[in-house]
Amino acid sequence: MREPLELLADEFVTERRRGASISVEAYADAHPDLADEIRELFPLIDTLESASTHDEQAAPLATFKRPERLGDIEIVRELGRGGMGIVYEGVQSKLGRKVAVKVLPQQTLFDQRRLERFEREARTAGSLTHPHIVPIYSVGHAEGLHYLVMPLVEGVGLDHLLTAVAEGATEVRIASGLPLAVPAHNSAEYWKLAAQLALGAAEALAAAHQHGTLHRDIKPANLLVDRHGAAWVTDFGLAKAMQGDDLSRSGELVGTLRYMAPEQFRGECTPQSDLYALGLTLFEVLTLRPAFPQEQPSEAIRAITQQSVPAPRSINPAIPRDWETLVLKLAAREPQDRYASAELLVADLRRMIAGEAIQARPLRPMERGARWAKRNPLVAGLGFALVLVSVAAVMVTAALLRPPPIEQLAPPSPGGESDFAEPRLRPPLGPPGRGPGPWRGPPNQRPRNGPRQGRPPGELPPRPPQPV
Amino acid sequence: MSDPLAMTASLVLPASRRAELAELLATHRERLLRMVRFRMDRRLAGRLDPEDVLQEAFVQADQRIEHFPQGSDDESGGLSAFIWLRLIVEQTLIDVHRRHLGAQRRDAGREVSLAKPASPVATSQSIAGRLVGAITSPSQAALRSEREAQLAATLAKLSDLDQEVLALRHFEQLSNSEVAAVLGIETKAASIRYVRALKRLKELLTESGGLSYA
Repeated sequence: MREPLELLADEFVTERRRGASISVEAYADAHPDLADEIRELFPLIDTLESASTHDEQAAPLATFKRPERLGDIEIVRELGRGGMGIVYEGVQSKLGRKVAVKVLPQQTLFDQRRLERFEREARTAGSLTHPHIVPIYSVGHAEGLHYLVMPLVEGVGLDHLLTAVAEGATEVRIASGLPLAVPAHNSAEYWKLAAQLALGAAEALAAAHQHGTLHRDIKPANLLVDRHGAAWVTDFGLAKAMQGDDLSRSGELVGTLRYMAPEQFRGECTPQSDLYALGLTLFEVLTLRPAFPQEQPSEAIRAITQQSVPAPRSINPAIPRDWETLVLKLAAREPQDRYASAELLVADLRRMIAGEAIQARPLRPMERGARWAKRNPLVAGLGFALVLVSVAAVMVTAALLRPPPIEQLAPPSPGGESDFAEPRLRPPLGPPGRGPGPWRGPPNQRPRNGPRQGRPPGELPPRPPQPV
Repeated sequence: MSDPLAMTASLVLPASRRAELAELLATHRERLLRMVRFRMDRRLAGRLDPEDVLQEAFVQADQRIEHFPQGSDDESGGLSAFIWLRLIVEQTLIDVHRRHLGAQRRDAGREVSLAKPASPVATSQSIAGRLVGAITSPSQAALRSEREAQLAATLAKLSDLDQEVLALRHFEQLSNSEVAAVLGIETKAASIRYVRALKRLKELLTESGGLSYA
């Protein structure tokens, strides 16, 4: 007689390998006598199983040979790689146009259902047409590879650009090999470029949100900067499309951890979540460091859900006050404290660029208090007085500190405040002894299979088996 | 098949045996390939194609076809045939390691601090290597890989037999009766062993204050 739990585990694993959608809870419900053990051990089985297939997923990407052609596309060279696959430059021979081809990691679309969902999501997102959104021409598969075809944006990822700024580079090479001038951090041109990029991204989000599409994974690497300094938002909705079947009880979690909004950890993703991620991206543009630099996923999650984003000016006093107000509003922990829509952000950015006063305030106390009380009628009675006192204090402060429009604030680029600020602008690259810190290089220089950075003490490095 | 002597030796066997072997190879190919990938030294990963190791093992199997268990089409015979084949793959892998890493064996020995592994080709290091994966974009994957890294460290604390049972079940995708046959124990004992190994792993994870898995 085999152990009943072992028999169930066997069934669970068999279904999982078949690609069936199964949940630990369903098993626990169906077998109440073993429910506790199932809830305790099956998630562990799930981790063991996913670990055992990791290598097959990761290895092909690391050792992957550049295909000569895919369908009617001739592959020219590799542009970069990341978690979502490898991007190549290609030429669509029939049309003679240059394209970017994103080849997805193998095995991520191992079953038909996921593949169909992926194609559906990619088509929905790809149908967005907007001057600041990279469209998807087509979704294809050839030689066992799945890929997306997009126009080739002659530009560079914002992450790459920011690394160049942090290093004090004056130019950066874009996809075609041409140089793109990089303005010095804290210079007037820098804030101008920042505003232009922010506006482009905000307009893209506004259009997508109107269309009912969320991006879900806004981050510096997903914002391309072209030669004219215009922003292109790429990978729209791909995070959702690439998401695996969720096995555990946790809610939907897609996006890149560091830029994910607190509510996404509760399984909620709304237009405000995209705005938050854009806020964190802009935070990096302003300060040249991530708002949450934690390297361990669990620490990052703790920080995101329990702490507030630090004030950008506490890191770099040269940042114009309006910028700080705007970014803090975007990165507010409560979704309702952010802009109500991407359109409102667009409007505020336009005001900022025109040198007018922005509408964002450090806090909107009465509204916020009222909303909060509505949601939490019981607690409100106790806490409201306290909230009132603190918001009153903030209102006074806000009124006193009401900044002049941005133009007047732009710091003199050489000398003065920016010189003073300079030493603080280049943060040490990560905590001491931790290897490369928050600034990752361009995606194609990141090691994929090497030992992870920042290995916690006690964690085993990969070791070879012992030959006997 | 490159050795002409081996070919003549095997040619005298009934054709049906070889057909049986070929069929067995086809049936279990995926899992055997998994086993090779899992147990192959990571230093060889870039140099050697697991497919080639498997190919070599198949040649070995063909040469030893006279030892191929009888009646591989019935259930118990099929089981022992698979176990036989798996053993040949394992021996081939040991040969391959000797051939390619002979000089470096002492280095490997220095790194491995665990007691003598239950299997000739160590399990815990393979698990650790497998688990420390690259972080991909979707955050669930990132979380998962941190979990897995922690899992790897904890797995190494399990007894060799516990590690082996989990590796056979999850990394080589062996069934309970196949695990029993590989370890030379009753199916009931294998079943109990597996549940015990899982529980022990869970305990150790809880002790080390690991991430919640629920």
